[in-house]
Amino acid sequence: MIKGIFTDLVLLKINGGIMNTESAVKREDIRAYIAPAINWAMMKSYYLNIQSEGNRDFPSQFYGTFNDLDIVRPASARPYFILPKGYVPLPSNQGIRYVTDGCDNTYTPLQDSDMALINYYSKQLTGVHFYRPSGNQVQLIGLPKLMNKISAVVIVDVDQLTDDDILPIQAGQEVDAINVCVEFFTGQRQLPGDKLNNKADINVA
Amino acid sequence: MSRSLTPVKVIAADIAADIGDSVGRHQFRLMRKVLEGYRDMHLYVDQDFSVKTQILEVDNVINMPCDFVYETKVGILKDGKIAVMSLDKDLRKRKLTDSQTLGELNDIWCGIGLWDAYTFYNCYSGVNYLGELYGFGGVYNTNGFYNINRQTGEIYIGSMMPEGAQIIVEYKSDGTSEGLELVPTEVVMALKYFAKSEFYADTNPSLSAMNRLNYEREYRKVKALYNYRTALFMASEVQSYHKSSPR
Repeated sequence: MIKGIFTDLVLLKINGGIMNTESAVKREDIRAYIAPAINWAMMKSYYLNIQSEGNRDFPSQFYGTFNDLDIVRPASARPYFILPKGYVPLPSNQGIRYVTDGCDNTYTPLQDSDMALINYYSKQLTGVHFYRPSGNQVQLIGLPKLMNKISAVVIVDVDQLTDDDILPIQAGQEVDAINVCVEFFTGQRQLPGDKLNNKADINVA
Repeated sequence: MSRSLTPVKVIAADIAADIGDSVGRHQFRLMRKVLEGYRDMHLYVDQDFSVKTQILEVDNVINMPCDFVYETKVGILKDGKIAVMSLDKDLRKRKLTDSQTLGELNDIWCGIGLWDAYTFYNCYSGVNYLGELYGFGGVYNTNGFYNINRQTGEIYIGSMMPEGAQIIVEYKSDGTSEGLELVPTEVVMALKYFAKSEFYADTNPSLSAMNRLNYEREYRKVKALYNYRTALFMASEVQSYHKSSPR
């Protein structure tokens, strides 16, 4: 499902099935809430898949591939490249699915705990390449000296998708994600203001 | 002898795929465990598996490679021949500066301070010629001795060496410290079980114990493979005990 249709469906449901120009909820409001709703749906399907099949894969049709990214080699820091778009903040940086170069070297991701050991083990594990994302900057360790371009495959952050991009929702989770969005805008408790903070104006009725 | 080899990363990626790790977030941890397993095997499986030979730069003090555990032989290589040296624990580290070396060489050429030893090129012991490889220099021990300081990982050579000679050291390697990319294919199964056993050690002790048992089974297979001797070899060994002495 593309992002534009998702937004319209949420808007339609909020308005009771009849679109109108008087609606208090605008498309921009819905777009702001899509990312949390989709991330929730992704994590739900992620854990469902683990429970049912022990599978941690996401449908690869949602993957965005960025080829020929420039590798920067600073004089006093590790080489790195910049991801052109953000990635979904899944646990253990799983939003970045893999990093690979033109020689079919697949890079191994490093976790926080691995960073204390990498200086020692990178000398023992010759021929193994590693990456470590920090924001949109991805550091490379054990990079071949002649390498100057690299490719990355990521699940792009929902906030950075356009209306024509496919949302990374697994089949069957769309309705749940729509309902989460709708509930956010319609399920709020209608409380009168308590401007003096003395509960007097709440209890007027 | 060519060998079938498997990359460490492939073993780690294989295990990661088996446990459902789709992006390889456990790969580094698994690679560390594979290294540990391989180091363990290197130390305790047969000598053929782990003894390494390296030719090192000639000096009075030889720094051992970082994967060095202990030496099995130290020798001098010259013109394709190797003279094996003997261990002398009395030898002490003595590294000369350039000017000291020059002075020592002058002493040799001028015949000063030779004591009761032999100049290198003649090497005459008073009875026979010892040969060029057991050289001699100044006040040094001349009989081809070495000593080793295990704390610093240094070998001290007690003899002067012929020009163009090289130090050759055969040593027990830990198999990993100098960098490891490939391991023999026959140990892959054992390493996989070892890595899984260590991987689950804290989170799932029963799974860890099961993998440990499998590892021990595979370890015995590897050990049997490396210790295997043919019946012909065994027969020749037995026969050698029954040979009569030369008449």
